[in-house]
Amino acid sequence: MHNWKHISASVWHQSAGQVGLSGVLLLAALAFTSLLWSPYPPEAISGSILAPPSLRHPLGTNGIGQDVLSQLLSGCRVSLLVALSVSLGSAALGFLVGAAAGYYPKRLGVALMRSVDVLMAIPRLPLIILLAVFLRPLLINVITVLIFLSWPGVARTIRAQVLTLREQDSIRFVRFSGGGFTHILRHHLLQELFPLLLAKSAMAASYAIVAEAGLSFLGLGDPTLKSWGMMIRSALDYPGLLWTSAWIWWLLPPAAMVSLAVFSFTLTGYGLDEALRHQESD
Amino acid sequence: MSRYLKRRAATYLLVLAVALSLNFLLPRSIPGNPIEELSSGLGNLPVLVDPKTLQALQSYYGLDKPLLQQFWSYLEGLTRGDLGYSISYRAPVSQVLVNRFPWTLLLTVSSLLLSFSAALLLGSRWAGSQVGEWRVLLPAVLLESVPSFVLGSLLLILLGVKLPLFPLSGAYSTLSEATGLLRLLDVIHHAAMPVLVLSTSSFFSAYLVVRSSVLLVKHEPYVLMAKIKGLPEKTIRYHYVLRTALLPVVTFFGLRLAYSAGGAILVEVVFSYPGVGRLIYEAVMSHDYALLQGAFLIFTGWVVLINFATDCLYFSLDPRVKEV
Amino acid sequence: MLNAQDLTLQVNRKTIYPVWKVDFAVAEQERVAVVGESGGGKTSLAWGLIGHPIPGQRIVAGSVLFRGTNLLNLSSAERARFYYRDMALVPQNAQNSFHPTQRMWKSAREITSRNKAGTDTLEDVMESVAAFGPPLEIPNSLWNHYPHQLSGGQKQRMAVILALLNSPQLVLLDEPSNALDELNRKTLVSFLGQWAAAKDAGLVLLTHDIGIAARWATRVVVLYRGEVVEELPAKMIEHPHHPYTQGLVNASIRLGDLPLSRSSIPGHAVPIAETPKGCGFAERCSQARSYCRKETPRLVQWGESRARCFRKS
Repeated sequence: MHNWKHISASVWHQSAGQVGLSGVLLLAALAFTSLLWSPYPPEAISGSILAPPSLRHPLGTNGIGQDVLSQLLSGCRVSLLVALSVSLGSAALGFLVGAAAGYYPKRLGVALMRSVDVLMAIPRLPLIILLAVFLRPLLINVITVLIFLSWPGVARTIRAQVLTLREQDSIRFVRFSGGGFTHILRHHLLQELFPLLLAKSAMAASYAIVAEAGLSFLGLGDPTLKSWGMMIRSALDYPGLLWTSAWIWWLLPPAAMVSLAVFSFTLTGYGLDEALRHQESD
Repeated sequence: MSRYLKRRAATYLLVLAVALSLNFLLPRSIPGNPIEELSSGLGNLPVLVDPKTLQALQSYYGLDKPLLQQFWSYLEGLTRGDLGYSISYRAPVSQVLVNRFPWTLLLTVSSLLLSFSAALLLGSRWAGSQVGEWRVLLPAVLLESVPSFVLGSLLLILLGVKLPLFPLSGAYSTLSEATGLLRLLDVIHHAAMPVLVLSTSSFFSAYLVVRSSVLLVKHEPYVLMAKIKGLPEKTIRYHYVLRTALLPVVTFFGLRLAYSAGGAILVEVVFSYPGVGRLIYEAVMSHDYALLQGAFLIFTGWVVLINFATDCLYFSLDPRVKEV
Repeated sequence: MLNAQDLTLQVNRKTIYPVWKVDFAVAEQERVAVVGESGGGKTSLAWGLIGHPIPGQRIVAGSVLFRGTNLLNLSSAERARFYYRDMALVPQNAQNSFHPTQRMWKSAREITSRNKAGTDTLEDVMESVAAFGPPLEIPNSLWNHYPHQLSGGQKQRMAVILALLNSPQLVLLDEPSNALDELNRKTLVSFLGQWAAAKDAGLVLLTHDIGIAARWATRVVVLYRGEVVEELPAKMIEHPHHPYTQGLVNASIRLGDLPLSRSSIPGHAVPIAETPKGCGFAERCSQARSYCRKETPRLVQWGESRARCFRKS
């Protein structure tokens, strides 16, 4: 009994990242297959309303007769697209700004950090809603807004690291022998900070998925793309759905998928964090 | 006031300035006349306005004046407490906000108290425990991964519909005439599910903060000394470890208090809870932009207020900050 | 009263043994000093003797009998019942081990309330410490202060007082006079002696200062690299059997010494990393022979003392 406790505890610690990563890969595989094949086109009305799961529709149909499974797959595509682009964008932008702020800590750094402080102080969801209302409901806008809100967090962390890295002997040597900022950025800082960036991107990805689902749920997402949030929203909007049993195959799958996606990215980020910390203590 | 506090105050004023500018510039940045936008939002039928009325409306709202002047009068109105007029509620925005904000606060504060108490209790017992901590961490991560509106919807179904234990909407039973204690119980009954959902979303980060603070303290010499003095386990856990680990947790509480109001939006929508969160949603649906902006302002204002209060509190509690 | 046999401690996950097969006994009303240089295992031994090894170490062999009960077989809660009631350890740097936001008298109350309900007021606590404070020159007013308002020496003496509050039968003190100046050191040591005599308690003093050990204790145990290398009555300290003890005696400062007569032992002590082969002190010993490195000496009785050495005196 005692042994089992130890085993499960160490499994948790070591495999957090592994479990997360396998979740992410699973989702990526789903998204990729949906590109190539899907039981039905997501928008097509292919069956009767609220039909329970069957051979023709493994996850049943929704309130207007569309195949739930197909919509689920296409939603996977959307969510991963959002997750990837937001994490890439915020990582890139945050890295550049943070590195610049850390490398030139006096005036440029102070100015940049002040704007980071301001951006981070504004409450996120209200701001997202405000921006989403006034911009047209396109996916690209959603992605842009999310990148805009995620990069300050990355920048702050990167800057703190660059501040200390800057004074390391190896970097100082390069500086004094004439290496400019871009050179150091590309050849030294990027390598050094890459794992940290990866960890931060994973967290940004998980937030992006939640935020996109939330926006779709509020009706502010791209109505042409069937994302999971939108599926949940239409399910909840359908009058009386909760009193039938149809919510089990219409509402639960997208809910489970969103949770799975967030869980995977969060665990991946957590695992990367732990790995970084162990590396430092060695 | 010290330099530290002055710097923080400057940052917050900047935040407010940015928020106000956003509020002001965004509606004016979209193509089309704001008046047309405003007028076409009433209901589903586009309202055709003849040019003369259009002109009158424009000059009433000062839209024909230069941008800077419009901004100035906007600010002026703000200092008078005039946040505009809500077309969907047919009342001043400020009035609507004042009516709804306390409900949001009720949800926010209750859920934070709940999640932080749970985090403190569990953290003091399980922090750093190689053997058993996964029992807290795993469910916490799982719960945190489920988006709040998803969890809320599921809970709504299970506990509101399938087993009608809890009400489906509102902050109190509108038809009952109960007063006093019964009324209080009714409010609690209505708030139970939203508060529960909100606390699950803040529990994990609260737990992490408690955990790191407790771990730091657990290795202090006075904790070890308490053990070989033979002091009871409970005394060590609560009086020695928890008490001294409290400061970072308290400041984190302040931080969460600031931002949780915005985080309550989705939950309020799911549970149809009459707070400012749901108000933002309604405003979006009905194109009531004045209301939308007012709600955004109140969220930002709340963030600034609580952040600054936390800074002051931290400043007075930790004398080392005074030297910064 | 306290009887440890074969006590062996190990550093977690490493093959380093700060204490190796130590037999150590304290009788009622005995005053034992454990001497050795830093790194020699005194602190590890002290914590091992109360059954609570220093975090990062664990007890891998041996037994510690306190009044017939093996402390190592008890659960930590059962062991804790003895602490600061029947036995007390005052660790090194005890002055840094007070609750930072609690007044000193409340820390004292935590101790006295082990025997009764914890509802004593400041006055009650002051009565309890009345017997201790004045001899150790702690003004009563200091008890109402916070730890950071007191000097290291004051806190050190208060830490000793807390250990003695419940009149334990066995008190272990690890370098209690480190934070004190010479005068206070003498005050403390003589006070301890008087207290122990009055209470019929057993005292164990762990120190690197063999001078204090010899003056104060009845028996001296010499620890080197986690092993007992010599045990002798204090009065025989000037004529030890073991070269290490002799080295310690030579290195200690005494009034009347000619400056050049002080010497030191070259090198330093390092804990044992495996079963010792040959004498552990051989490489630093000025009188080592070839067989000293090959055979392991055992503790052998030489008259009134015991020593772990092949050399005949």
